[in-house]
Amino acid sequence: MISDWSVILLSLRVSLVATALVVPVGLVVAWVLVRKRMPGLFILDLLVSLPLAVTPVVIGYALLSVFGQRSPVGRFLEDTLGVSVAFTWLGAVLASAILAFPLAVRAYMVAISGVDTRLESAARSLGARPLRVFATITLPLAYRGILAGTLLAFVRALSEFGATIMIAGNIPGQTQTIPLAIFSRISAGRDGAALQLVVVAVVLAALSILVHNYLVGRVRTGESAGEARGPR
Amino acid sequence: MSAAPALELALQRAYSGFTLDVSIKCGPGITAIFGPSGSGKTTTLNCVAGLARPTRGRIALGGRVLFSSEEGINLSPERRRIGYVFQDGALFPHLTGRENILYGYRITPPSERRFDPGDLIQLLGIGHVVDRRPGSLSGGEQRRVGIARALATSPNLLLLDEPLAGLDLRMGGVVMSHLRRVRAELGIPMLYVSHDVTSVLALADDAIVLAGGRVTAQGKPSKVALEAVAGMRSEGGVLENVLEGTVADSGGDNRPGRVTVGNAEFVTAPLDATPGSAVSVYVGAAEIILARERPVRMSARNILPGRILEVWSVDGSAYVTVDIGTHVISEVTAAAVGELGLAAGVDVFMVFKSTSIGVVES
Amino acid sequence: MTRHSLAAIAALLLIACLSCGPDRVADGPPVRVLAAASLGDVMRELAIDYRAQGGAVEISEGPSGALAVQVRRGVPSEIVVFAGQRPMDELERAGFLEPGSRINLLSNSLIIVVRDTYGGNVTSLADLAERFEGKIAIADPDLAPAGEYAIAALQSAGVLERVQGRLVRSLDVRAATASVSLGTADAAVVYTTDAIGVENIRVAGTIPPETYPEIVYPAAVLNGARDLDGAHRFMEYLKSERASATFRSHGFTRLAAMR
Repeated sequence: MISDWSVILLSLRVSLVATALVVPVGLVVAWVLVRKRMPGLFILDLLVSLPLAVTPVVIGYALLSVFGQRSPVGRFLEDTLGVSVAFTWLGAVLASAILAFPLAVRAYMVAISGVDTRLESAARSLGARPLRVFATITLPLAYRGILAGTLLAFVRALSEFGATIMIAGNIPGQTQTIPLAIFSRISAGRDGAALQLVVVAVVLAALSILVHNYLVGRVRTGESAGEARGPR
Repeated sequence: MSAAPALELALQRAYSGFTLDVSIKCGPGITAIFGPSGSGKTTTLNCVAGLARPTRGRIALGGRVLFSSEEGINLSPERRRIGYVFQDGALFPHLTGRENILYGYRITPPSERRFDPGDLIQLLGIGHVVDRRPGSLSGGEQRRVGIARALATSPNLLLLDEPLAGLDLRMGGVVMSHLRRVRAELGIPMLYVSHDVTSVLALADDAIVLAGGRVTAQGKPSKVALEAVAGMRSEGGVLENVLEGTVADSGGDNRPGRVTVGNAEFVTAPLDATPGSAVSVYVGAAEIILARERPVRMSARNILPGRILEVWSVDGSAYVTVDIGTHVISEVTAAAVGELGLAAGVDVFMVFKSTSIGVVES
Repeated sequence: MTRHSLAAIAALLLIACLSCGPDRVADGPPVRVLAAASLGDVMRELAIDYRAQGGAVEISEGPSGALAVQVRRGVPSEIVVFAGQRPMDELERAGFLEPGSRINLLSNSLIIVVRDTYGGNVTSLADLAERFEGKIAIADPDLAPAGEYAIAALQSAGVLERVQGRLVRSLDVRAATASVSLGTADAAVVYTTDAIGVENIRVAGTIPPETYPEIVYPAAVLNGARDLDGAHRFMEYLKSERASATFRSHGFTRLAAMR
């Protein structure tokens, strides 16, 4: 039998890689949505929020339609690159990433819009290109909100079920993450075994929140210490 | 310094019911853009810096075109090589003062670096604070770090947006005297935005008055600033002479202080500053009395002879610039001009009390 | 401090990227079976036994609707096993099945469960209508076949009208069983297989199989199978005597007759 540990490790691995995908793409999208003014951006805004609006099963259905063996994309990936998404852990990663994406982007947008645009303008006037401004000014100043959004995304990825079971299936040791294992155990009437994993999921979520609070708390005290150093 | 205009700009920008339409040529030295709030001063600076895009027009700096709607040129801010000192400094709060100053310096190609950050820190007198974060610096220190940060990129033009706004007399004086030093030692042309006539008179070589998005006057600061000042009265604009001086005698024990300004010597209240230290001297123009003959039996301690350089009459007031070994402006009524026969070339005495002089260490 | 924490995030992400995907179990692709969720446990048990004999098989379970979509969208897989004929009929009509491979693998039956503390003597649906006043849980007939079968059985017994007001519709048949176990309903009409291993309930009576449609778990080989031989070998295994003992232990009856 597949042990709880392998389920937990797979879940962590899938969620971490999904989060690693969400962070860079999410930052770029959030930055564009907050700082750019161009027509049609509301469509991007809408697309980003879409996974929140529709049930995850629909997202899974859409993913299967795109990455299934019957779609040109799925066939191209399989035949040319040897990558298959459907029923692999990559599919689970993709499903988790898409469902976690809006939460991260929303948090990033709030964080980035909290950074004074004049600081970014000042950096530009000092010779910094936009990417450098983003990395050296926007990112460090929006860092707390970005961290919060990232952990939120991680927890969401950890709990993703509907889209995952569609695109990745529910294969023990391959794609069976914690929520899928909970589903299987409840389906089989093994409520006790399901409860064990529910406890694990809750503990993982609580740990993520604690890590977040610890990091944010440390940043806050660190800064106030810096401010207290010199006389006014 | 060459005589060719450093900055040439002609631009139009329309936004939400307001049209900015300015055409300006600036020489080397400090050009003040002067006008009430909402007159388009900051927008003009932003267009020059590349942070705002004019609807139409052309901006060139030292012959290099930065923006031209006709030629389709619009250099991004980072390629313009223009230093921008923002109103409250806009320092990066997560970096120390030194890191702020080095931010642009590090990006500037070594071949283009003309100023050493260490020299700039010394020039602006901020050596004791640069290792702190902006949050723990005073307003005046923040402005000076902001000026050093902009200069560290060796810009071809320095834009200053109200660098004295919100500072008290002392801090403002300190920042002003550092700007004078920058002008004297680095020779960078500056565009200086202010709604404060005192600093314009104290700093600028040339002045432009902006009102309602249009240039209404351009010329010598004393002329254009004084013409504009009447309109500023309602906003509480007060004309002060700001002069650079050196303490000759601190005074004390019922002895007054003495400050040398140019070739004149002012009698002041006893001073905290030690003899030889540099100070800024403030005298309100309205507090200076003009007399055609040397007054006798007066309580005022400063009775200084001089010759009138200019007289500007505006709206019932007259501003009389007198050379008493340094240039000082007195504000009198228009009636007095006629009665006393005040005109350029006339010899007069300037009379003011020692207690109406403000002295601030710089 | 900001820098340190950013570095911490970066390190975290790096670890995530470096940790590659799970190792494949076998060299070639294993025979992949898409199984209805209610068959998950028993299928996994069989898979372990099959692998012990040197075969390669993996089970992916899910709701029937999800399985059908996965087949239609071309997920590489060899065998499907549904809890009901309808999704299999649809796949067959759409031409996704290997001709002649469809079989009725298993059957299930309906029972009445009550709380184990219930002292009354209820053994039939008629008893539920006449000598019982509590709520009766069934799977929602709009969502799950088990609900349709329960309604059919109540209709055959002629008591549907009388219990209508006491019927509680659960999301699925498992939830119906659980609602008795947890005390939110007093009785339930559910599959025999559902009562196994559930606490706080007891089987009150069985329902005559002729009073409701045959509950069949059909299985078939998919014509998109990557390994047709392997698929047929595993189908043979499912029909074997060895497999049927395992099915029985989970409450299923093996049919394994060619349709």
